[in-house]
Amino acid sequence: MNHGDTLLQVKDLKTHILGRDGLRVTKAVDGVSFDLKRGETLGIIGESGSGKTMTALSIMRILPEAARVISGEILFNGENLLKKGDAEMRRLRGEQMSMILQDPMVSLDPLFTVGSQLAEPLKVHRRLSGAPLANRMTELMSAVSIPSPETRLKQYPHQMSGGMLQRIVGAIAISCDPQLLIADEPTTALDPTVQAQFLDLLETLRDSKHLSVIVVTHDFGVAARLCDRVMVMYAGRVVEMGPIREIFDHPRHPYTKALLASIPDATELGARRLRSIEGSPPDLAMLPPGCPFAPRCPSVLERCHREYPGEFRIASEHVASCWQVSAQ
Amino acid sequence: MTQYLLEADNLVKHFPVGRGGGFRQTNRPMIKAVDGVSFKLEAGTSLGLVGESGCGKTTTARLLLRLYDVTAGSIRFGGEEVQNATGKPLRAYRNQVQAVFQDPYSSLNPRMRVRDIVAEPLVAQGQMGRKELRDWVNELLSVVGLDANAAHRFPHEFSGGQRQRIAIARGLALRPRLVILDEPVSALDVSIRAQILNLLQDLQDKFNLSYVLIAHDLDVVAHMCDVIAVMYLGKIVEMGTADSISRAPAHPYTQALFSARLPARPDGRAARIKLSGEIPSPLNPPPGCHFHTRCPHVMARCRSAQPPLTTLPDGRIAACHLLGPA
Repeated sequence: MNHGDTLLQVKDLKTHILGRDGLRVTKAVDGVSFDLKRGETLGIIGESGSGKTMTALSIMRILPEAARVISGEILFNGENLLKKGDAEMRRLRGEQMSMILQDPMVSLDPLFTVGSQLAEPLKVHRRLSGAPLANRMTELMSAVSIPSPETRLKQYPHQMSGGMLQRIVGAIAISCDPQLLIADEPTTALDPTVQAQFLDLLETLRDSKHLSVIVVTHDFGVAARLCDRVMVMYAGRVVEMGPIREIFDHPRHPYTKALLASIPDATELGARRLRSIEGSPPDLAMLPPGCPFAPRCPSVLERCHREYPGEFRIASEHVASCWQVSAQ
Repeated sequence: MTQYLLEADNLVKHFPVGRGGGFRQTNRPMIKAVDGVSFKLEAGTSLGLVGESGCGKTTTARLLLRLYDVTAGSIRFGGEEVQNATGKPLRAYRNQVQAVFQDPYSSLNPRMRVRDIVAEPLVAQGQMGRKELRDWVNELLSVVGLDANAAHRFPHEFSGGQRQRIAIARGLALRPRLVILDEPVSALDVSIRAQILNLLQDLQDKFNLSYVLIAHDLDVVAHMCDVIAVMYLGKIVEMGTADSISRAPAHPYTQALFSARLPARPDGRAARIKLSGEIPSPLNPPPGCHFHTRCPHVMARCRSAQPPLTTLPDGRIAACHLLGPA
């Protein structure tokens, strides 16, 4: 089955979180659309509450109980994941699509050896056992550069460092040669040198296994290091999307511009003050009618408070949702 | 001669771990969390402590706050030795040294109103009348950029950035001269970080504050600090002006640490120095230079002799056999 260049297509995804009283509705993801090509790495950049993680969880169909996909389509190899039954999703997850979470101490079970946790997807999806299973596990451990795998496989998570555990999580994620890998803040819990090592590893795995990758991050640096394209989210919507260099060199949405300008850069010392963004992100249950960034936007127009801007195409692959952009 | 506000001389903190060592505990295994750290800080300036987890930067901060007792070494504040102070002198010292921590969700008591949180250090000190206290709290709130009506509200009503402002207001309540900032922005949203960093710099100018800043984000430290000290396994391996350290790191560890920084731009991918292996346990640091097990330039001498901190031509100090006198 081949569906051309596109592995994943998300169309107008809306994921809302219902409050316990059923009245308060948090629009965590509110009309998100994007494509992911085979072998491509897409970064989803946003602050907490921007909907970036909810988008990822919606694709994997592992949303928390209170969250529902209200509308939209998620086409994976042309098939709508939202129409799949639980059993079929279980078959896909871990085999064709897998995920790396932020904190390996949380994503690994402290009561089982890392070996048994690495073996699980191989037993379930590939029905491996005995020598072939052992060989595959050793092969995976060396793919993520963990020395003396035989000893390590018998150890428990608490016996290893965070960087090593995250590499184990990486090994589990690629164990069944998935087509799609989603990494949600994969290096936020790691030290800088270990973070750099892990990003190197992700890059190597992606290139050697021809993976399509979605990296969810709040850090433009991670995106700059790894991604071909980025999608910037704010308050549940995509505000700007484009090739990584375009976004860095010619950001068009005021939010993207302001974020990039507010990051301290050690190579440009001497600038005493940082350009800050005033205010704070909005409450997603009480969004204003117009553009959610309008209250904080330095170049706000009167129209912004009334109507949400549509998507405006700047270049073939570069789009932004902003009235300013449309006016130019 | 420069009068320093803070002088740490050969600070040592060892923590006993596990069992063993016999009845007298003379040979109990020790974690050498801080192992001979010295630095000086002028009033109104900032020192950044950087290094990976376990390097001893937070322990150093806690020694300065007198939350831990030193195993050895001295802390002089305004010329007075304070490392063993008790009673009144200790209280006087603590009034002048305050802290702002990483997570404003856990550092503020959810059951207290903002005015009580900010006023608590003043109430504890007990030298202000009610009217005077209320006026000062209101002034503090406005200094950190919060509305006066914030005083009557509870922490949960505020966002992360606003909570960090409350924590900063509390830190300033006693008019300290030194504030220890332990990862003050890493728990905050990206769009909020610049606000708080700018606020900290404004307050530094306004009150002539000194900062000891701990952060894993090297760009933040280079932006905020005059001097950077790089720590590895309980020791300072390099210390110098923020400019010299971030532009031209001299010690191989500093070079590796700064080269691991994420690129500021997609094409800004600098040649990275890859470190092999993991940070050794501080329980059993390797002999010689602690960094020799991971150093790309390791020599025979590094495995046996610990390099002393030596002053380089540009005034910075570094501990490496490559840089010392041949």
